Amino acid sequence: MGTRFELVLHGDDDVQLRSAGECALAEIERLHTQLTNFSDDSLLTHINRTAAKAAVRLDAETFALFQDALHVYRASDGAFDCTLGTGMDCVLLNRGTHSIRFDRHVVRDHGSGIKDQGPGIGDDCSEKDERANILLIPIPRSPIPDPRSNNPDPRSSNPDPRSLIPDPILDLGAIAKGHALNCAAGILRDHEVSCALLHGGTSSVLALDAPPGESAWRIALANHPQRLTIDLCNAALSVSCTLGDRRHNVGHIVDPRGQGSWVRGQGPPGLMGERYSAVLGPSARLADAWSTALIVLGHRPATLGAEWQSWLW
Amino acid sequence: MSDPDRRSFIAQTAGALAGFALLPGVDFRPPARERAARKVAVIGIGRQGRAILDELRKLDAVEIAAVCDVVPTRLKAGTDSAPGAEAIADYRELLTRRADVEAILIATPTHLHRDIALAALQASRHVYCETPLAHTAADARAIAEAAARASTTFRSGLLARTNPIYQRARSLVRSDSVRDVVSLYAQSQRKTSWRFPAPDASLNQAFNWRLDPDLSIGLAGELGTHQFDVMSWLRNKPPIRVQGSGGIRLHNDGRTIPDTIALQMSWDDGVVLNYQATLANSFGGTYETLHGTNAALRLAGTHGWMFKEADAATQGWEVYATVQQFHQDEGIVLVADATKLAEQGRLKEGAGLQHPPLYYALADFITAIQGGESAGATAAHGLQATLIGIAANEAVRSGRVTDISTS
Repeated sequence: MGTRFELVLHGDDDVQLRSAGECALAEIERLHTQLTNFSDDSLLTHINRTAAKAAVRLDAETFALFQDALHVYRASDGAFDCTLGTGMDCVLLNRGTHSIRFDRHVVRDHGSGIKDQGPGIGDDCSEKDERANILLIPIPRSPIPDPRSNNPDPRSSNPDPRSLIPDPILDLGAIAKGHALNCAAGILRDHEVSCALLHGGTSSVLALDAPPGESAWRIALANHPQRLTIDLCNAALSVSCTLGDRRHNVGHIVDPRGQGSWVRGQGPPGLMGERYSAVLGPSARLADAWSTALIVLGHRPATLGAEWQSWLW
Repeated sequence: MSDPDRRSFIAQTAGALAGFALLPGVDFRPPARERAARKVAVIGIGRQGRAILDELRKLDAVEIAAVCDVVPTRLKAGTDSAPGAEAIADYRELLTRRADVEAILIATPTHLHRDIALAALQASRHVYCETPLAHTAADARAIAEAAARASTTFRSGLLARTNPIYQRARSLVRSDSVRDVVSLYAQSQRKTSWRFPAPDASLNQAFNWRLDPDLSIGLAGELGTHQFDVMSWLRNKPPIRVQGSGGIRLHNDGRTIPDTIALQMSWDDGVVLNYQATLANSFGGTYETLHGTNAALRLAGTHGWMFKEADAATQGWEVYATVQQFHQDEGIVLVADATKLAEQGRLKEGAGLQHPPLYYALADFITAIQGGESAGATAAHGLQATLIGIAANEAVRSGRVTDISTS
């Protein structure tokens, strides 16, 4: 995650609030160490290193994270995809064993989108006992530009193969902050902290009950042309933007459905243009995934349920 | 630049201290799965218990059959972390009803270790017990004596001894690379209240045993024990004397356990460990440093470095290094087992462990159960470390020089 998280807690007992807040922050730190791609000893690195050879057993919470990622992948028709990478054909999530596995031998037909694993599919898979209730995410094989490269947009010319990002296979950068906020909020609730506002990097926000005398936490969207203000109470908000590195005019969201191109906005400022999305709903983790998907799609899909509010500009 | 050229280049330009990353050897192998996985249970599902579950899940040789805690929310956290494991509130029920569970991992508060460890050993289970083993010398001795009598395996949770980077460092201490030890330094710094909110008020005291002077051996015992053991293990002998001080620098909330301590711990050859721990400042985190006449070692859990003195002879293996900057000094990132790694084309791999240190300790425990070669800390090692931690805490409490008895 590599970003600053802040908690605002309200209550009567300072000592209790501090210790609850410390537990919530400790949980965020724990998740950071588990889900980062920048550490050799993280769980995600372990998955990326191991899952092509053997199933990796997961805890219920991490399994739910991947299930949500899969849900939004399916509902957005592939616009959100945490498997940006190369080399694998699919990711298998086994509900029976709470495990994750990469497989090179199942489902070559990426065009048909996600598939539920059922009997008879992928008979060449070697571990049939793991087949029940497996869900498949086909991984795009399109070249992915590397923002560190001098040639970040492969559409502009033939991309240098060395500029393709070889690893990691799974990247939870677009959803981990929301996941951490959900887990931290759970800890606060467990410790009877009911009035709180949490955010990660200011782009993912989660609110519990409103402050005394208020109906909600009031959040302003700084980049919205009308400086839209959103009331947040027992809900999560995630914002996303096309532009990642303003100095170099480099985007940070790749369209996983196409040729691995950066998602571009319309018009100035910047050559790539800017596009913003904001999504409000019951889960910070899902809000994160959907705000990214909306940036890629450029419109609100019909599959985004009525419990979600969204803005795109 | 050819290798001989590079060697002379390094020898001639080593005016600044050079930092060498200590990579683990490539020989570590996790325990292989036998015909059936070994069934284990974890007792105590607080933060450390969950960390144990996180690492156990990575071991194919293990099936987490049960989790145990008296607090329902923690029990649920256990089953969330180990799907399929049975949730059992009472450890005695676990020991009597789940005869198929052959190993018990104890991660309860320190003062509860004794009864559980003795019951598990009495029930002929293998035991992994977090360290410090106990909050009193009598309890720690009781555990060690029971482990010595038992026919099953007992391992103490002293992570350095199974950490491949620390093992590499120890081999350097025993070679000419470090040479004579000049001094030692270690710290554990974090900013936290050390308070844990309980799900209801009746559990407040139980959850905050670390702040209860009757049950806790303070920062020296709970944090320092592991770091004192690093030094005892690296030096191959325990310290003999300790003096210390402590106070409350930040968390003035009615507690009497100091949130900041400083210790001086002496060995029989006059070498001194300067140690500090605090809950009021996180700068630098947790690490240990050993200063030798030829080089210094800094060890920080998943990472380790060696800083060579300018006049230290080149050992040869440094020529495979990658350069790394350490503040004002040019560091050379060296790779342990460089020749072997170079043959495998893996010289440029990362400079840290592939798993948290806890993983290696648990892998070692399972290997020991399987009858394999084990470097893990025995009950005797755990007892020694615990007695040093208790003496250090006593030095902080009393403000007096305290002799350390490790027998």
